[in-house]
Parts: sequence; C-alpha cells; structure tokens
Amino acid sequence: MQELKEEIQALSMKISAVTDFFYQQKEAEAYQGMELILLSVESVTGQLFQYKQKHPEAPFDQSQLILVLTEAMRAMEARDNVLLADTLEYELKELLLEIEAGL
Amino acid sequence: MNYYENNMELLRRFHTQLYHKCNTFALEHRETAPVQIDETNTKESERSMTLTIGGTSYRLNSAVRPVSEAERWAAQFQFGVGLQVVSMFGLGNGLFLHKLREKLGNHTVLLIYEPSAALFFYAMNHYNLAALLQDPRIHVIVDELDPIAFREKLIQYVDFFNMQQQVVSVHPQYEKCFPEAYQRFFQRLQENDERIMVNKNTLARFSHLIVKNTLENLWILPKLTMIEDLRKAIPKNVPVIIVSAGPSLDKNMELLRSAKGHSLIICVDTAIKYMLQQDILPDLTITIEPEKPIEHYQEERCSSIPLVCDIEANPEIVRLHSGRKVLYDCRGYLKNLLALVNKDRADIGSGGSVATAAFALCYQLEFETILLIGQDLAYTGESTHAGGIASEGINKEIGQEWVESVEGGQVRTRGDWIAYLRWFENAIQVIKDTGKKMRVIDATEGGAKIKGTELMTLKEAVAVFCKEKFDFSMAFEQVKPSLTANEFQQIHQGIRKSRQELQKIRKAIEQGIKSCREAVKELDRMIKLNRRIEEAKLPLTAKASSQVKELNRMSEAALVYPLLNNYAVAGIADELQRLSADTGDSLKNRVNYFKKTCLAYEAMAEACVGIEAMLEQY
Repeated sequence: MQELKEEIQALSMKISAVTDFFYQQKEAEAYQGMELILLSVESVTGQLFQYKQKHPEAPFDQSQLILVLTEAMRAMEARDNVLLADTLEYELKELLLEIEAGL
Repeated sequence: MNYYENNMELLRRFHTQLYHKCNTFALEHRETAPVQIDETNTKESERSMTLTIGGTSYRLNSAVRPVSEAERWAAQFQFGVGLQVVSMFGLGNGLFLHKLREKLGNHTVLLIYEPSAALFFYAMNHYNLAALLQDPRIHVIVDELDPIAFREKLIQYVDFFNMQQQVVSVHPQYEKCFPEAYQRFFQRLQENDERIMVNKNTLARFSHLIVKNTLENLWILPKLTMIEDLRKAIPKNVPVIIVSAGPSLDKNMELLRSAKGHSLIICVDTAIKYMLQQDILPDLTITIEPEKPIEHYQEERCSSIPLVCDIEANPEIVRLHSGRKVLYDCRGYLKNLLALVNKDRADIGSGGSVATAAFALCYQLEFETILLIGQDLAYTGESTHAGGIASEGINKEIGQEWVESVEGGQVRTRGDWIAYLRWFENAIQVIKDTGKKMRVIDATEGGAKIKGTELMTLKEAVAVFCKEKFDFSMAFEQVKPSLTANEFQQIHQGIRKSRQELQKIRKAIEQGIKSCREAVKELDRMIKLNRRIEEAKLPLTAKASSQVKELNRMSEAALVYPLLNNYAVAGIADELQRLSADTGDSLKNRVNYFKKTCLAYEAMAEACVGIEAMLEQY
C-alpha cells in the first residue's frame, strides 16, 4: 500500500512538471513527459482497480478516474495543450491525491 | 473612469502614436478582422478568454487557474541587467504580460505585438491595463492599427550589441489564432537581424573611410542643393525612372530614349556608362558608396548631369564631378553641422545599395509613379550587371539562394541582393500601410520578383506614364543653393570647433581609461574574495562609474561624436558584443562593463588622433 501511495505522489510531481512544460509552450518536452505520465498512469490505475476489486468499500470512484482520463485523451488528440494541462493539473492530479489520502 | 477611459488616458500620455492610430481607426470606422471573444469565470479572480476565429475556438488561458498558469509560464524567463529586447506576440487579456512584466530587468524593453485590433479594443474595454501601459519599458504595437510600428521599434531598440540577447515569446495559442500575423512577426524579427548584420558588415569595411570621405566632402556644402529644395522644383506627378545596372538593362536601354523629356530619369552610378554609351543622358545620377570606383564618372559628360551624392561617397567622384550636386542624406556629423543653422533633416536611410537609395530619394521627393529598370537583384547566368559583367558583393557570405522570379519560376540571387530585395518589399509595404499615393512599376523584365510592385514591360510603362513633357534641367535651374554664405560660415566655425572638442575628449578619455582599469581590479578582487558589496561602497568603482557617465555625456554632446563613434566602434564591435553578454553574475557583468568601456575609450582615443589629423584641412 505504501508503495502505491508513493507511486501516486511521484506521478503527481510528474504531472506538475509536465503541466509547467505545457504552460510554458515547451511542447516537445511536454509530450515526452506525457509518455512517462501515461506509463505511470497505467501502472497506478491498474493497481487502484485491483485494490477496488479486493476492497469495494474503498472511498473512490473508478468511473470518475476513467472520465478524467478520457477528457485528458480528448484534449491530447485535439492538441489543446491548455485544456490538457488544466485536466492533468486540476482534475487528474487532484483526484489522485484525494484517492491517495483515502487509502 | 471605467477601464476603457482609464486605459485610453494612459495611452494618450505614454503611447501617443498608438493613441492617435486608435482615434483615426475609430473615425474611419475601419473593419477589423472578425474575432469572437468569450470569457468564463475561473477559480481565481481573473477570467479565462476564448477566441473563436473561422469557426474554431482557442482557449487563451487556463479555464481553472489562469493567474497561476501565467506565473508558471513566466517562470521560464530570466532577464539580465543589460539592455535586452523582448518581443511578445499577443496581448490576450494581459494576464501573461502582467506576470512577465514582474520579471523584467530595469533595462529590458518589452515590445508587445498584438495582431488584432478587435482584441486590443476588447482588452482596453474589459481589463485594467494600467500597469502595462504606464511602464516605460513596455511598448504596445497593434498590427492592424499601425503595421509599421513593430519594424520601427525593432530598429530603435535592437542593435548589433544586444541582438544576440533578444528574447522572443508567444502568447499561448496565438500562433494558431493568427497564423499569418505570426509569420509576419517572425519575418520582421529576421529582417531586422539581417539589416543589423548588413549594416555591421558595411560599417566594419568602411568605418575609417566613411569618416575620411565625410571630412573630404564638406567642401561641397556652399553650393549644394538639399532634397527639400529639389522637391519644390519637380511636380509629384512626373513619372520617375530609376535605372540600375542589372543584367536586364541590356534588353531595354534603347526605350529610355523615348522616355527622356517625359519623365525624370535617375541613373545609379554603375549604370551611367551604359546610358552614355547609347548617348542618353539621365536627368540625375546618384552615388552613395564610399568606395565606388571613379571610373564610372570619368566620361566628361557626367559633369553636366546633376549628381545626388551622399556625404560619405567617394570624394574622388565628388571632386571629379564639376556639375551641380544634391545632398542625399543628412545624418551623423553632417546633421550636427546643419543643425547649427537649423537646416538638419531626418535621416533617409539608404537601404544599403545605390538603387535602394535612389528609391528612398523618390520617396522623399513624394513622386507618385516610380518605374524600376535594371533592378534584377538576381543573376542572369553568371552575370551580375549589364554588359555581361560578373561581380561579387561584400555581403555575399550571408548566403546564396533561389527566389521567385518575375516570370513565375525561380531565379538565383545572392546575400546582399536578398537584403535589398527585402528592403524594397518593406519600403513598398510601408508606402501602402501609410496610405501614400505611390505606384511602383517593375519594368526590369527579368530577375527577382519584388513583391508589391506592378509588373510591366518598359515599352508598356513608357506608353502609359511618359506622355507629358517634362524638362528637368529647366526646372532645376530655378533651384538655388540651399545654404547662404552666412550659414556656411557658421558651419565652418563648427568644423573648427570640432578639433577643440577632440582635444578635450582625448584628455578626458585618458583619465577615464585609468579609472576603468582601477575599477576592474577592485571588482576582480571582490570576485576572488567572493564578497558581495554594494558598488557605492567600492571607492574606485564608484569613482569610475561617475567619471564614465560624465565622459559619455561630454563626448555624446560633441558635434564630432558621430565621427568618433563610426571610427572607433567598427574594429571592436565583436569584442564589445562579447562583453555585453549577460554572465548571470552582477559583479562579473560590472567587470565586463568596465572592460568594455575601457576598450571603447582606447578606440576612441585612437579615433581622436586620426580625426584631428583629417580636420587639419579646415
């Protein structure tokens, strides 16, 4: 559990760094960073969904996480970097930290 | 006062030119490019702006925390202590610029380039822009209101010494919202850098010669005609033909005969021999370059053609030509001398070549129709000039490339010509932007396409424009020399005073060099000891600082200063540029500042000696 919490915190920091890149219009660095984020997101969400299966009473909503990730993917496809940065920083990161606090 | 009134009042006080453009724009009820602007509330006090252009929406700010976004965006910038120019594409709602402003150094100049008038007026109506508008470091340019302002500001603030430190930034999403203006913005920056390099190359090559020529040519002042007086003698509707010596000139020289007496024919120095070979005498000839070979003017008939010459032109040509002369430009030392009798005028700027200078002359003379011939700006095979001549340019190292030809294909050109081509295109654009009634016809029938010109054959152009008779020599006969004997006497006294100025400056410089060296030693000691002490508490540095200020003030106020500057700077330009770079350490920057000053003073001391010797003839 501790490992998962630490992984979420590390992911949050990566999200902030990539958001900075997006806000600073450093698109190449930002999308390189996105690749790392996507790998971490895959790992973290996989673990969270497993956890939820074992602990249905856990206080987080998988569907909300899926919704935010879908929004982020849509922004990425549209190359709307400001929207993508907002979604990562103010939705995904906040949601992940909320989940982490409740674990 | 609401935001608009307050912002407009600040614009009136601090950005007069833009203020007048806004008023003219409103009076003329001009249409702006259609932009739909929407705003949404956020979690912070500021709103987020979205633009919709051509059916596509672009969010300019974070929809959640725009202030925090702007802070994070601005965090990427660090500005040094020297003069640094930041060009920012896009004003938006001003949020990013407020945060950028907080990071500017005392000597940073921020040029805000807003492409859209609609967006600018929206921001003026809905946002408090006071901090931006009253900050003396900030200049606002609205492309739709004043399309030449950005170019002017770049010329004003970017020079060889700070061009490497320029910072260019773009408001998020603006490049997508305004792709054409975005291209134009970068094109202006590139053109300005090229202009600086061409000027630097020219100065490096001619710096001492320019000074020598200027002083040797001053004898023409009592009899010369200034452009203002020439302007009064020629009706603006007379078509002007500028004859340059490009390879295509061979094609249509003969047609000039029929235009003679129905136009004003201005022939550049390199083309005059071709015209004389055909026994066609132009109305005016022009020379501006310091090293132009005298051979162009050795034909006796040249002296019967009035010569438009720059004060820096080859003095051998100026002396050999015994006819009447028109002064091309008024700048530097000559400007200071003419100011003594209130006859100084604004600098015309030559554009770097005699053909661009001829065009600038026509602009000054406010002609309505200008025909260009022999203006190839490209090779024909290996030929660079009429008569099958191949000659290399001094700016050739800038590069060779292919550009669009007048026939629609591609044509090979070279570095200096590209710079002149851009200069012509810019000048024509400026004419259009300023609403001047002037048509530029390219009747070269070959070479590079000069955007903004109308293409015609010379035969067509002569048939269309050269219908009325016009006798230039008769009109010019009525024009008297521009300076009275008394005015020249005052100028002569000014020239003599220059020698005394040089002696005084040289004496002060010797002391200045000594003080700068002491300051460098003192500051170096502080760096080695890793001590951070206020400059005011370092006695030698403080003394040098105040001495440098006083010495600079004294030398810049001298009549002879432009000559000193020309003579001294060119040889040390690269080293000065290196020492001007920000080291990231304020003490090291100060060391470099005093080293730079020392270097400049040494060069100026040498210049004082050199110029004093040249002034002995007066």
